[in-house]
Amino acid sequence: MSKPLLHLKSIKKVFTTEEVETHALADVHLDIHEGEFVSISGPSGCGKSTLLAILGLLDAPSGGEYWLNGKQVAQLTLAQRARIRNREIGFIFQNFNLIGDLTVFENVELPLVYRGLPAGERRQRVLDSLELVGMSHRAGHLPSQLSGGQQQRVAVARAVGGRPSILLADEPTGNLDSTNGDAVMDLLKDLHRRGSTICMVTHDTRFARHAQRSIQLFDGRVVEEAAGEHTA
Amino acid sequence: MSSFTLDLKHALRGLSRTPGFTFLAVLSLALGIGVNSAVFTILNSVLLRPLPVREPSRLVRVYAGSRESFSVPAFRTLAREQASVDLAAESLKPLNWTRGEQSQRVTGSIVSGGYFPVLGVQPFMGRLLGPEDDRVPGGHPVAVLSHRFWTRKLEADPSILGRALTLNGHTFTVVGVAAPTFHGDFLGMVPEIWVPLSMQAQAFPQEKRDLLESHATSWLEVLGRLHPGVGRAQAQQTLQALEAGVFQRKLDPDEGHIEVEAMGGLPRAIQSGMGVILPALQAVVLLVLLIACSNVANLQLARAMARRQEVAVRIALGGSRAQLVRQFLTESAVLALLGAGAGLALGALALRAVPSLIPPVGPDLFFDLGMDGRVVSFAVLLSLATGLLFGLAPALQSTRPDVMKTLKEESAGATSRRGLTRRLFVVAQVALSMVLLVASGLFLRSLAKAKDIDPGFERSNMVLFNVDPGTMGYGRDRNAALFEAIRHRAASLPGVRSVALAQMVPLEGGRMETTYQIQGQEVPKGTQEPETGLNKVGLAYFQTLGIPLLSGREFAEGDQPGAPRVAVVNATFAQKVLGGEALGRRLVLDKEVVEIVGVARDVKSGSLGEPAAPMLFRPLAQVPATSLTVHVATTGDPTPFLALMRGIVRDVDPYLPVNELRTMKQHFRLALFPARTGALLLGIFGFLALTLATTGIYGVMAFDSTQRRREIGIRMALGAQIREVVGLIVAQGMRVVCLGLAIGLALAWGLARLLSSLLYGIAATDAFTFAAITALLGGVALLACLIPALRAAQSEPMLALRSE
Ligand SMILES: Nc1ncnc2c1ncn2[C@@H]1O[C@H](COP(=O)(O)OP(=O)(O)OP(=O)(O)O)[C@@H](O)[C@H]1O
Ligand SMILES: [Mg+2]
Repeated sequence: MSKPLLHLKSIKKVFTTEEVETHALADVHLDIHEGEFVSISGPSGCGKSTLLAILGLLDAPSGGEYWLNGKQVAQLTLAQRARIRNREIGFIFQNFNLIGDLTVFENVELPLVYRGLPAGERRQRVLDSLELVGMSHRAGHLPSQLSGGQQQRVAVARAVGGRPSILLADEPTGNLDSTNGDAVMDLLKDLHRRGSTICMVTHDTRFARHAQRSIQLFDGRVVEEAAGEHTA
Repeated sequence: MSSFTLDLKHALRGLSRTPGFTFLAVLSLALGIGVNSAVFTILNSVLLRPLPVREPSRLVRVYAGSRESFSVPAFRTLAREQASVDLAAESLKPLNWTRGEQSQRVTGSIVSGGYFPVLGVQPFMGRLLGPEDDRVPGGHPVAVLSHRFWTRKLEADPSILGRALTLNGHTFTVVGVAAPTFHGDFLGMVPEIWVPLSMQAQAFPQEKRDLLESHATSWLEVLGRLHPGVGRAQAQQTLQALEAGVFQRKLDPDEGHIEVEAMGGLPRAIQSGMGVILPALQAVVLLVLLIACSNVANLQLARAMARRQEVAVRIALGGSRAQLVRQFLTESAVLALLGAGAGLALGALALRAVPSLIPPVGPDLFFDLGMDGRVVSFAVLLSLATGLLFGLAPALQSTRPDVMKTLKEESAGATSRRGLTRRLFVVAQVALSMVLLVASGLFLRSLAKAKDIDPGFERSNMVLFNVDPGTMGYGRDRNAALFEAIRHRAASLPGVRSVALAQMVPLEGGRMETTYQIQGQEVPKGTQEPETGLNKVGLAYFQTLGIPLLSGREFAEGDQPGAPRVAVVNATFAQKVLGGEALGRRLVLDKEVVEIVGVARDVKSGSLGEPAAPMLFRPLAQVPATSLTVHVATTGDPTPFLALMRGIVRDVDPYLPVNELRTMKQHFRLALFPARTGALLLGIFGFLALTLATTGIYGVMAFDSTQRRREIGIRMALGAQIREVVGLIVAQGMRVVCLGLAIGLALAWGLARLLSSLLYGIAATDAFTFAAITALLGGVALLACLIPALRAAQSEPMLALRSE
């Protein structure tokens, strides 16, 4: 088997608040290969979001090793983490997290601005991404003028616009009704088919089944790894 | 429990739950109210507060047209003939009080018998003066003391009644002490001893004429109490009807008629000046209050934002908007009252510093700067009004009926920031601070420049003191001999370079003037004769003061009364009046022909800022004066000579007081007093404004960035670097600040012109000041934006993952 895109070894995460230690993650091993679609599920509070945050370099693990694209990234400075996040990671959040004062176009453009791409190239990529999610006609709108499903499609466009190595999605359908949820799932599957690597947290077993590989977390540990129905 | 007490309870509980907010809000208000109540206290005691006497509203001042004062016969006739007002007269004069070996100058007041009865002042001890003390000229050697004089200079001696005081060499018996609240009827000039008008000849022996009989000398200020039911206009009519019989010479048409005006504590001339300066000062400190109130409004807006959940619940539970607004306003009112209390305390503290602002030389000025009920109501009303006004915006905004919609929008996952109102407040704060800071900057710069202005005379090595032998009844010849003796003794001290006498000291504040004619170019009768500044000076005056003579000579031994009359003019006189050639030209002064024998370089005589004006010097030997200042030039540090001067005068006449003993440097400082005070006050106000505006900007930025933590988290999740996030927040903050700076610059540019007459050596639009203040304010604002931005950039990008 080829070298994994992501390699987690003995990852631990301990939160200490007011003398209380929460072991959110205990000894997690996980590999994700390029082109994979992995789902993570488990009961509330089992550590899914924490794991995703570590994968996305939003947070540093308390212990263990994390290799991304062959580089050890567990302990980096804030600035280094920001740079890798910007280039390698695309985030899709449960509550969309579009910036209300920016138009759809500007929201999608934002990571590209942070990367320092020239305006012409940014524009092309934004239009491409919006085209991909079917939102080109709303480029000038503000997020508040869109429905939830549309907002999440814009968020997906923002995540893929930077052509990241991996898309991380935390309950991307959690705030949507089933029709809109299905539409977003279809979009992710479509992206996967085109070659994107995706790691998605979800409660919904219906959606978990869409993934190639389903990982079950319980109390901060991986308790089960199963191949999805959708084997590649 | 009534809904009001319930509101009050909630307000108090809410405020004590957020002590940081409460502290900042109360502090802001207290600073604003503090300066306002301090300035208002001064304004109140100078312009508004009536005299502490019976029914002050019926008191009036009577003026003889523009001449203002009356002769004794004129006053007596008026007082006797008319029937609408009880009149009294007074005149403030320095008295020479001798106690043992020591003599000192005290502020005396000579009053008519009606003075105390008309004012309705009560004695603290003994009795006051009355009509029975004003009958026989020279027959009533009695005196009444001010409470302040009795406590400060006589150690509150309980057995003072019946004791003798030596005033101007005559013995007066103390018959009473006035009430402690009574400080005379002129503000600042506080009489220490009152003597009856009948004792004029003993109290002012320097006058050659018998002033009690002279129609020619007008020297009494007249005041009166209107009879019940008589108006000011009516009293004026009855007095004017007597004009013909009262004045020996008819009043000139341009001198006007007798006028009756409401009693103010200040002489008419000063009153009008103060009537401008104090309200202007009050306006300036109201600006400070506005800045403070913007702070409070912003803090309240921020708090209301943080409480919108609570507000939404209250609305959901059926609270009406009016109820909610009232709840918010109750909180504002509580804050305002706390601010007023703390502000009054601060103001009282600030007022304690006021006496130290009054220059130490010159007459003993005293202001009763107590806070009365009027000041307290002013502070309370002002803070309630501003508190409620500025509490209204937050109250209305946070109880908007669409608050539920706002909440829903927020949960939809789009972050957004609001706060246009808060930004507008910041713009206003920055603009107002800019105005204040520019004003204080201009004053400070001007003060620095003033120190560099060359006054044109020696200002380091010189001692000055005034001697007024007139108070001791010296005649003209004895006077001259006395000064000659003082001059001789001072000049023979080792280390003294030169000694000279003069009537006026440059930069003394006052100015003597005389009209003149150029011989051969007399202006026709009836037209205005030209005027020039005048000083009467003795031998070696120019040499002593280090004023170079451009041509001719200074006064010499030969310029005696019998010799031809001579004068020295300054360069401006020679240029402007005589077209350059001055030596040998003749002027007509007081019908005497005077020849110009010298031209001296210009010096600053009135104020440092003045443009050069024509000036004429005449020799004391030919035009004598009684009260003279001795100028002693030393070769080194003049300080050790200060102590020697009293000894010299005592050797000549042990009873003669030495007045206003000072070095020229101290004198110079006095000349800078207005500018220094202006700079100090504006500096304080500017600093307050800067502090308030900075906390205001900081508060808004800090609150904004906490509100935006989520947005910042998203940006960081998308890969923004810390400096990009910081840059974003700072840029947004500074955009608001820059708008404020621009508006402030425009306002300051416009307003600074009003200051130009008070500034030395710089233009009101001094580019350096404007640039420096812009940089200062901009820099401080940048810091105030930077700190919250840096703090916000520490926020966890993890926040983006949480769905609140
Ligand atoms: N910043 C934090 N400080 C302290 N404890 C935390 C923090 N973040 C997470 N936790 C704790 O770590 C554990 C895992 O939290 P996490 O958010 O990863 O759960 P989750 O699986 O995503 O749950 P859900 O399905 O409800 O989103 C929980 O017990 C949570 O309380
Ligand atoms: Mg979660």
